[in-house]
Formats: sequence, C-alpha cells, structure tokens
Amino acid sequence: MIMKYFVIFLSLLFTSCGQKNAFDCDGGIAKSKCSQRTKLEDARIALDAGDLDTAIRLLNELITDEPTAYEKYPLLAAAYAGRSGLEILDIVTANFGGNSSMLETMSSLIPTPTTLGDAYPKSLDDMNAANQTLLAIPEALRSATSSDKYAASAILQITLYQSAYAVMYLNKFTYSTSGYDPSLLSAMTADDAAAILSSLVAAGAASGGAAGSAAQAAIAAIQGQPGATDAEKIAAWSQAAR
Amino acid sequence: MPLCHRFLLALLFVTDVLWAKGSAPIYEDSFDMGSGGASLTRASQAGMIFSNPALIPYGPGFHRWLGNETSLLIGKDSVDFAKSLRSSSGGSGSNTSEFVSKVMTTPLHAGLVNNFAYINSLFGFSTFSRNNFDIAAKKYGDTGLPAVRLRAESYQGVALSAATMALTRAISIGVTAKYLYAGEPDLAIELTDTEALQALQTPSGLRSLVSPNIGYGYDAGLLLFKQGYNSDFRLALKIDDVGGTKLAGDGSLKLLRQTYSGGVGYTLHNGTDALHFSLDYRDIQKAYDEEMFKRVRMGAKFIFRQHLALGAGYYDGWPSYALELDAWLVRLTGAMYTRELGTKPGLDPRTIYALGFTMGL
Repeated sequence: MIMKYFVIFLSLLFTSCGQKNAFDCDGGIAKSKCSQRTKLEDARIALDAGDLDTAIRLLNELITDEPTAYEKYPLLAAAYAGRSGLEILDIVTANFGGNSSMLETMSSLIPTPTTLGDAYPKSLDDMNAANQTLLAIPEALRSATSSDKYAASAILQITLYQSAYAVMYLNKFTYSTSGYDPSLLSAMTADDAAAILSSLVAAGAASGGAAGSAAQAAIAAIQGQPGATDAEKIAAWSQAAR
Repeated sequence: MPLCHRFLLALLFVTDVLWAKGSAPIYEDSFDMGSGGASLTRASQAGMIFSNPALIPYGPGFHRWLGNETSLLIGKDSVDFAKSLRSSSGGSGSNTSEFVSKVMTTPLHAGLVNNFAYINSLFGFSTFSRNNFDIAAKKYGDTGLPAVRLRAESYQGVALSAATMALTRAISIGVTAKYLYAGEPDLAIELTDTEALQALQTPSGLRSLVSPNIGYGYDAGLLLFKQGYNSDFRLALKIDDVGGTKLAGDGSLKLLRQTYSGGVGYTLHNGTDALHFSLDYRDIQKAYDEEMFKRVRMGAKFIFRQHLALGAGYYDGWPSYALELDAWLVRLTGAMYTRELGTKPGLDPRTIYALGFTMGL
C-alpha cells in the first residue's frame, strides 16, 4: 500500500513537468509562482547555445528599447560575427605576430565563397553589421582606458572584425565557388579597394595588439606594391602574400 | 599566451574555492538532496545536525549513529565531456584546439563531501567538509569575448548539537553550535584580459581567492510531532545562523545571514515500511533575496524493510532522484539532482550525480 503511494508520487513527478523546472514560467507547473527570465538573460542563453538568430533578434530589440545601453553592443557584434562564420575562439587565439602574413592568418580562420557558396554575401553582411554595431558606440566611450569592461572588448573586437571584414571582402575577388581564383581580382573596383583599405585602417587604429599591428603592416605592404591604383596594389599584395 | 595555457593557468589557482551562500544548509546528505532537499522534518543521520537539530530525539534507543559518510559529486556535463574525450581520443582531430573548444562549451563541476558524526538521543557531534568547484567557460562572455567563470564552495568545520523533548514527545527543540572555515570564491576572467590573469599570480590576488574565512555561529530548530498508528505529522521551524554568523579573514564571504525556515511532513508507515512526504519553505523573509524556486523544496522518501530507500522530489525546482542500499555497516547512495547556479531557472543549471559510501552503525 505504501509503495503504491510512492509510485503514484513518482508518476506525478514525471508527468507534472518532465525534466523542466517546476518554477520556470516557460513550461513549469501551472499556477506556481514562476520565475521569468529577462530578455537579456534569454539572449545570453541563446548565445551560449549557438542560437545566434535568436540572440541577434533579442539584442536588437533590447538596443532599440534602450539605445544608450552600450554594454549590449559588443554582445550583438559578437553574435553577428559568429553568424558570419567567424569562430571567436580561433580568432582570439590566432598568432598574428608570427611569420605568416595577416592575410594568410586571417584567411585560415574565416569562411570563403568556396566554403559558403551563395551564402557568402550574407556572411559578409553579417561581418559588416558586427563592425557597424561596434562603431555605433560613441568613440569617446571606446577608450582603452575606460573603466567600463565592454569598452576594452569593443576595441579588440573592432580590430579583429575589421581585419576579418577586409579579408572577407578581398576573398570575393580571390575565391570562386569552386576554389582559389585570382583572375577575379580584375573585377575589383576603386570602391571595393577603398572598402578593404578603410577596414584595415580601422583595424590598425583601434588597438595596438598583435592583430592591430598586423593590420598596420598589411597597409604598409599594400602601399609598397606596384600599381597605379589601390585596386591594383591590393591585387598585387594579395597574390604576393599567398 | 595561448588560450589553453591561460585556461590551465586559471585552473591552477582554483583549488579551494563556491558560489554565494544561499538558503540551503551548509551541509546536506546526498540522499536528502536527491529526495528534493526538504530535510527540515526528516533528515538522514548526520544531516539532522545541520538540517534541524530538533530531529535528534526522535528514533529508537539512545545510540543513533556513529559513522562516516563520503560522497563524490560530479556534474553530468563533466561525465559527458569525459565520454566525448574518450571517444575522440583515437581520432585524428584530437588536439589542444579541440579540447579547448569542448571546454568552452562544457561546464566542469565536481565535489567531495565528508562527514564523520556521532549522534545519540540527546546530542550530536560532526566534523565535516564540503568542497565543490565549478568551472564554466563561455565562448561569448559578458562582453562578447571568451571568458571563464570559476566558482567554488569550501566549507569545513565542526558542529555540536543538543536537543530535548520539551515536556511531551510532541515537541522537540534543538540547537547546533558550529565552527566554520568557509570560502566562496567567484571569479570571472576574460581570456583576453591579461591584467586579470597577472593579478591572480600575485600573493594578495591568490590570498583573496583561496583563503577561507573563519567564524562560529548557531542554529535553532523546533519540531512539532503528532504520531498516529499508521501516520505521523510533523511541523518544523528553524532559524539558521542566529543573529548572523560573522566570518573573519581575507576571503570575500563575511557573513552568513540569519534565515527563518518552515517545513511540514507527513509519514505513512507500517511495521516495516515508511513513506515520508515533505515540503520546506526556506528563508521565509528572503534574507538572501532568492527566488521561490530556490527556497521551496519538496519530495518523498520511501523506506522499504529498512534496507532500501528511494527518494524523489524537486530540488531547486528541478526533478531529483535518490537510491540508497543499507547493508548493515555499509550504505551505498546514489543521487541525481540539479542545482541552479543562476538566479532564475535555466540560467546556469548543473545536473549532479552523487555517489555516497557510508560506514557506520
């Protein structure tokens, strides 16, 4: 008889809310006093779970509601960069100060038109969105000496993402969907060259770390290449560096 | 410095380190935790000293318990992590990068709990230690860059309880005096933050992380007990850390706050078996400002022929289960429960397996 009661109790336990928390507002026991997570908490859970679409949507909503909540901008930028295909662990641990050029190092870490195919333009847009999100933080608040923790993160992220964006943009003209194809470089316009250069300049100016120095070295190397235009110099640098 | 080196460096400094003390007792028996953690009206042996000393007078005979209990705690994620490492160890992709990548998505949780206690119908004595650590690395930390959060719980000490039935068997009061070494380091480090890592290598930085604080405090409990032929009813009230337990030392944990808790229990029994339902409502005045899911514990314990016990309940709002086999001098316990390390359900849960080995009589 007593065991029967225990079995009934176990059955109730299993069927009441399965493996969910009894006090979670999402799926807990009905009528219990539940705990509602905030939108930011849900965004962090989505980020950790790799659900970047949800994280981006929630963080965008939060920033729209409170545009001066700048501590959320680096999180949103990281989510955009992640969705573009950038693996943050790889990029943070990459050795930009080694013998390899910035182009070689970065190329090994980011997607190319060959790996992504038709999704590459979207990936490039996401990386651009990551940069624009960070640049929306007022420059005065992006100081390396700021006591705000997010400021240092924003500066480092700008360096990494601007470098990544420059190389991803260049890869439009060096990779086709079937592989490395430098013949595409002839299609690079002056506007394309300006976009690549401005990203490298922004990366080099943001911080003085190894990645920033590598970006500055890349600019110097481009300027030292033969060619009448920036596009020709970038094309020459690209082929020389590879 | 490579990421894996930073991570391993961080691990070196976490040997004796817990998250902020909440409404839970400083020591809980594994079986009690797997049974939902509602232990104010019924607790296992040494657990009585910490859960509610007023439980001590109830039971057969004068001598109640002399023995040692050791429990190994390990996070389910850690077990899954170890399995995945084992399965990938022969593959060509097994390298440091893969290891770090797995570490960044898998919280590591482990602990060791020990308790030696003697209890009779008048008083109880216990020496105990509880050490848990939790390492949760996140690919996207607080600011979007990889970060590691190191948390630990370290509680050691001695506790002495005395209890008596007041005039009648229906009312019992008990007190516990405890002398504690306690530490709850909680450190979040971004792996790109070289300054924070360097600060850890200084004597003062280390001291604040690993030094336990020391103090003594008191708990008081009351139990109302109505015994029937086939069922019992229990009502418990408990004050933890009467007046607040102050801790001195270099660590950050300086005070265990006074909390009031209440519990009800109902037991069905015959000559050999018993089924106990219990519900605890801890920290009634919200001294720790915890949400309801952490303050309400509920569950059931089924004791079959004195040798087999099954438990189930809700611990921190999550389902929990326990099994105990009692072979006279030796007792084996297995439990599974989930602790929520965050402030809301689902933010930072850790499902924990507990394996207990007890010798005593």
